[in-house]
Amino acid sequence: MTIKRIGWLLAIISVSSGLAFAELSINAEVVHTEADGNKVIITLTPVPNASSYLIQKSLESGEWVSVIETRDLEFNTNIENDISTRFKVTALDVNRNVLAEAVSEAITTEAKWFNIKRLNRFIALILISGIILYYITRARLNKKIYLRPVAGLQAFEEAVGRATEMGRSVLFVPGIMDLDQVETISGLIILGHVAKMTARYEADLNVPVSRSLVMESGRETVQASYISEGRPDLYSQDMVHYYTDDQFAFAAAVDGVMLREKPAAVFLQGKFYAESLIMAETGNSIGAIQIAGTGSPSQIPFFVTACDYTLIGEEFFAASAYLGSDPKLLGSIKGQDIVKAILMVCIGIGILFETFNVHFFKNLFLGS
Amino acid sequence: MFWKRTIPAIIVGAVGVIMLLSWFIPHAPFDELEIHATQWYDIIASFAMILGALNLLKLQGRKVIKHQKGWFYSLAAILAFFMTLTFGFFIKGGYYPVLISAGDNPEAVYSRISEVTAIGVEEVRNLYAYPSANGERIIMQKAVVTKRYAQKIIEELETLGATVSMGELKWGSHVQGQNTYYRWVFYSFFTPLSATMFALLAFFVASASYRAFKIRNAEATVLLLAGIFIMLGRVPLGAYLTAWTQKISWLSWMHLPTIQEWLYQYPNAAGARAIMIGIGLGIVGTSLRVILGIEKSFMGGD
Repeated sequence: MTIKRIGWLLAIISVSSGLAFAELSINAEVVHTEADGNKVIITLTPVPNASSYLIQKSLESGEWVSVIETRDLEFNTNIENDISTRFKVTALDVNRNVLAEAVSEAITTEAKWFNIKRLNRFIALILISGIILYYITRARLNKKIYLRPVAGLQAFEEAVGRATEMGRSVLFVPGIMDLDQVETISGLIILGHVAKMTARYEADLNVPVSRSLVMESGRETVQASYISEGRPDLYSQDMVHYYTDDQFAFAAAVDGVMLREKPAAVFLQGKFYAESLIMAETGNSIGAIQIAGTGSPSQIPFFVTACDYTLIGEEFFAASAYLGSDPKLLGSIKGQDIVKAILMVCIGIGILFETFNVHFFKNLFLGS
Repeated sequence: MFWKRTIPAIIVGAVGVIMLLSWFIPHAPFDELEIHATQWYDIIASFAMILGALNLLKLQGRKVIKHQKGWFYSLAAILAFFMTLTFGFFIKGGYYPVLISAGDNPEAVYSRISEVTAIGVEEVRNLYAYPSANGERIIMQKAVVTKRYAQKIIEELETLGATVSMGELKWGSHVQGQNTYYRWVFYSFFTPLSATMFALLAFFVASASYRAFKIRNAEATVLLLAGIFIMLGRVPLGAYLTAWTQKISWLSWMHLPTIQEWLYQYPNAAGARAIMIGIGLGIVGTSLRVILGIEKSFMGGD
């Protein structure tokens, strides 16, 4: 009790005397680990009459380099991993005279093997993947899976059949992006199914592409489809051909093909940007039956307006499972639907908690 | 079949899993995998570009040779291809005079420089009165400056008493630099043509909107009304027409900019997010199918 009183007395004296006893000290603490360098929090004790504090850090060579000049007593900075670093703080008055100096303990940081701030998304990934894998396994075990009919997907066969009856070609555009986009992959998967139909019906298939890698991959896909339908004789490498990488030049080329060849069926399946409406409206003007599908939300309204059928969002990614007969693919779609239902419940719970100003549930989904 | 289907499927699966996990591991070597993978992708795509170019020439060349319908467009494409290739790799332009000293008759020199640079004499005087040690580059107002033209200007300036040397853009920098053939092709042909195609969008939006807004059923009517509110709410006319609602507190919500903001921020955002969630799940599902090798048709498998 006596010691506590003495402590209070000292504190009162120090405050009343303008913190005459305060000495500059520096505390550096690692608070966060990232791949590109560790975040360090620097805390200073105040020095009377100091107008600013110059912070420096040591390099491997032993030199000191300036980090920041600040008036704050706490700030953060990044340092290199696996390098012992020390911080030096110099208190300066208004005339830039040195009032005090202090050096921190050497600290070393290292990259972690797991970014804990992404734990929630890692768990979500495991859960989503687990559910999808579970339904794939269920489908393998011949459990019957029902998927609701999608008008756009049912119209694929009708569109190719119409082109055959009219003696005109089928035009398939797998977007304007490269193979690093999942929409392009999905577009190529759908191309495989459309190519099977054109092989069956002996309709001409024309696939203009805007990326060389997509051309090579598209050729493999179409060839495999023609072979699987027993019509390798109908396949030609030139079915899938390259025009240009440029967005609007490609749109001009595709429009030219539409106006010259007047295909009876146009499939726009892949990643599209502003050229979506230019292509879709041109296809509309020639009277072709048009089926579009994309994962670009901003292009969906254009396709809905100008095309006969549009695969919106997830329908586009599910097309392969619908068009094919592989139960494993159907299982993955069922898994996605279950995840979607879980998300809907989570959104409902989130709305409820947020309405009552309780934020813990929302915070579960936040991360860096 | 093993080399063409199984091996690529194994590579896709392994790379997919590693790249997925690397997002959670901020430790070497995983932290830089994405950068390396992107670089490898760019390198492979660059080589594949040759295949694309050859395919383009083959198909367009065949059309020209066989005089197929629209063969002259193909001829234009081939000529444009080789022209751009030539200006990219073989002929560059981009020459310029370098003023070392204005000599004894600086006013006459500045006057001539003013003519070729299309800037006022006073400005030229300020720019070139104190040339730096390495001289001052004279940028001529021409789309392309050939060696011959630059030499002609140099001779003219030397006749006036100036000391001038010849400078030229290096290969590589000619792609971005001024007065080169490549830049001329890009800005005089390619950019206007691209802009033309983009401009067509405005007319297509008009025709598509007309079709979408035709009243056929209840949904189309809702779409039409929402469209009208959004369009009017985003222009000054909408605010002007409903300005009177601001004077009556219980009617203030009827101000058109307020209605359009509500439509945009709530029903529209809700619909867009629903689609986004579906797309996100679709991407996860497709990626899983590809990584697990269930979906191989894009590689030519069944």
